[in-house]
Amino acid sequence: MGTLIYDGSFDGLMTALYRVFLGGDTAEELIAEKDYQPGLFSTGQRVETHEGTATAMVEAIRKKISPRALRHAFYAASTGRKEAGTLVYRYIKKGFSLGKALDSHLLDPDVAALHALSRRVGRELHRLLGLTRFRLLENGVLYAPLEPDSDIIVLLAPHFALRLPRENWIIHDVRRGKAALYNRRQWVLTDLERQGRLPLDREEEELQELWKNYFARIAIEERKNPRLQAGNMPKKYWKYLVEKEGR
Amino acid sequence: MELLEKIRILADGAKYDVSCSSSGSAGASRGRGTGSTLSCGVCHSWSDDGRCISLLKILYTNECVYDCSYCVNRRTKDVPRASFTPEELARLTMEFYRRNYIEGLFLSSGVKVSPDRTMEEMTTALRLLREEQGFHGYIHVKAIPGADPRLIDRAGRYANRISVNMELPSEQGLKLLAPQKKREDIIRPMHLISQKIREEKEEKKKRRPLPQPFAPAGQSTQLIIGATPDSDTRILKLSETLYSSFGLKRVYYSAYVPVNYDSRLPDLMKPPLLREHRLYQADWLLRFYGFAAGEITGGREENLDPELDPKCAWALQNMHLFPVEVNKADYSMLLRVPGIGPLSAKRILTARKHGPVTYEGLKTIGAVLKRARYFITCRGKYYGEGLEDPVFLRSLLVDRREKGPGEQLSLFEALSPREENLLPAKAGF
Ligand code: SF4
Repeated sequence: MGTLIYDGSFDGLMTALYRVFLGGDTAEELIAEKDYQPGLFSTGQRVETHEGTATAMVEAIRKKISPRALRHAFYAASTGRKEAGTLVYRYIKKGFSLGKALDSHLLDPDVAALHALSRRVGRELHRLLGLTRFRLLENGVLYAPLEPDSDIIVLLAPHFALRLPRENWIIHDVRRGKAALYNRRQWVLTDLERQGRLPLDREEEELQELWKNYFARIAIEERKNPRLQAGNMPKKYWKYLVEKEGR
Repeated sequence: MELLEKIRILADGAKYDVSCSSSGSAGASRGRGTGSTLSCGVCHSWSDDGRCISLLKILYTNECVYDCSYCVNRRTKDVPRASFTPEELARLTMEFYRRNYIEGLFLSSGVKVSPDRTMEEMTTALRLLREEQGFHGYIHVKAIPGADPRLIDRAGRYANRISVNMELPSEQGLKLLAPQKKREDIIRPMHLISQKIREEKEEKKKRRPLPQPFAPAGQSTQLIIGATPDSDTRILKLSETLYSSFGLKRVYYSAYVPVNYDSRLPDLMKPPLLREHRLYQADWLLRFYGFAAGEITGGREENLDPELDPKCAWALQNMHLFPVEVNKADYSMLLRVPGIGPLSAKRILTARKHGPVTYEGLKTIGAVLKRARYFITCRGKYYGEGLEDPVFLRSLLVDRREKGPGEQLSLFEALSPREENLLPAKAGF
């Protein structure tokens, strides 16, 4: 059983897929560098990420299967889970034989497994559209730190570019050390290390206080229900929530 | 008065209003302003009572010339009073919005001086927000009963959604608990709003979209549950009428929280949360499952069964229709199976195209079988028990989770997107 090792990026995964489907390599397993452990009887083969090749693969998926399948694959890959690469590979392989109808084969185990991963990302994305919190910095930039399970700031950025087009903002994935920066015209993805305490705008603390008070007051005492609250808003996201910080 | 103090007072006065939905219209400022709206609602936080916070739900003022006996803001109640200025409210909304605390504004109000005066000030705040601050986020505004139709029209052009609270399900209730309000004052603006929305829809079909459409996300209302003796049957009939004749987008139900002592009010220890929950479930059946109010209540003049999900209750009354073969039933019948929602029903239909769906297959596509298995067959085989014995079956279906000590367990699932509750608009992915 052959293993291809890619760098963990989506382009890397697409390059590896290209090698299997169009380049004549054989492999049953696609694994990211960080998860690779050499086996006793098998050795993995490393794949050099190549942007042009990746783009060709993306286009092939879009045209020969569907844009939707491409989205599912992208979402699944952003989980960064160990099995994601292989699951995407099996899903796309099915896709090349089933074509457009791929996503209607809900009983197929490869399709079902991939949809499950993709749904997980969809859920987190939807949650973070609401749970992202910006702080206004002294320099006028809105700054939102996050630690999402999946690698999704590239999925959040377009939403906020549409919503806050007249602002300068940063959405920072603190754990992965990257950020989406927006300058009132377009957004780019860059590396960004963990930040120390950032200087806040002088009205920022007042605004946070207003929000915290609003948050406390809008709850109905007679209906207190912490279990329901934590079910809807998992505690893992509280760290950067202004209204829950430090609780 | 400090802004902080105002917020505390005016949030306090607004918290019993339950609507928080921000769904139903999609658009963006395209660089000219701030904000966008999504067709699916977004929750930005969940307060300590577990309810979704989507909009900045707040009163313009908690001063009120009326004296409705169920209300925290009634004239005779001894509470601190505050009012915003239009500038304050516009700024606050904008600052919260750009920090992504909220999806928009939900502005309600007590009646200061007169309905016209109140509506006018609220409208000024909305105008500032839209025209001066360039705000394109979601706005839901309350129409103040008794305000001039022209003022309501103007408010509705700044808002995405407009609503008039019915509050009390019956005329008698209104007479007793809110004697200064006339049913006419509530029904008239509702009528007016629904007419306007309908007219503009027609207009839109003919011509290009209007520059400032009236309440594009429609109209909603709220009913208080448990302050009057009205039965669930009555309430659901009313909701059905509001959906069909008035074209309402949502009816919200709010368990009455005893905030005042008044001999005319029932002596409740706790808000009837379970009843509210059952009504939300039943309401869902009206809007997305093709049920008629009469079917859900079985035509009896009483409340919903507190122990059963209303769909289960209906199924137990209609056992002759079950079990349903998942490989043959059409969409509308699948939807009637307890535990199967629009999302699962659609997935079953999709999966069926490529071959028969087995019991295992149902699990693969993510259907929840806890309840469904008693009501279905897969390729002719029945996987549950109790089909012949409705009494036994009932005991299997009783909502144990919700029979705990208080009513405080997870009662709000009607408001959170669980499988049974997913909006069809979001299905398919
Ligand atoms: S008019 Fe509205 S705010 Fe005033 S007392 Fe009645 S319900 Fe309360």
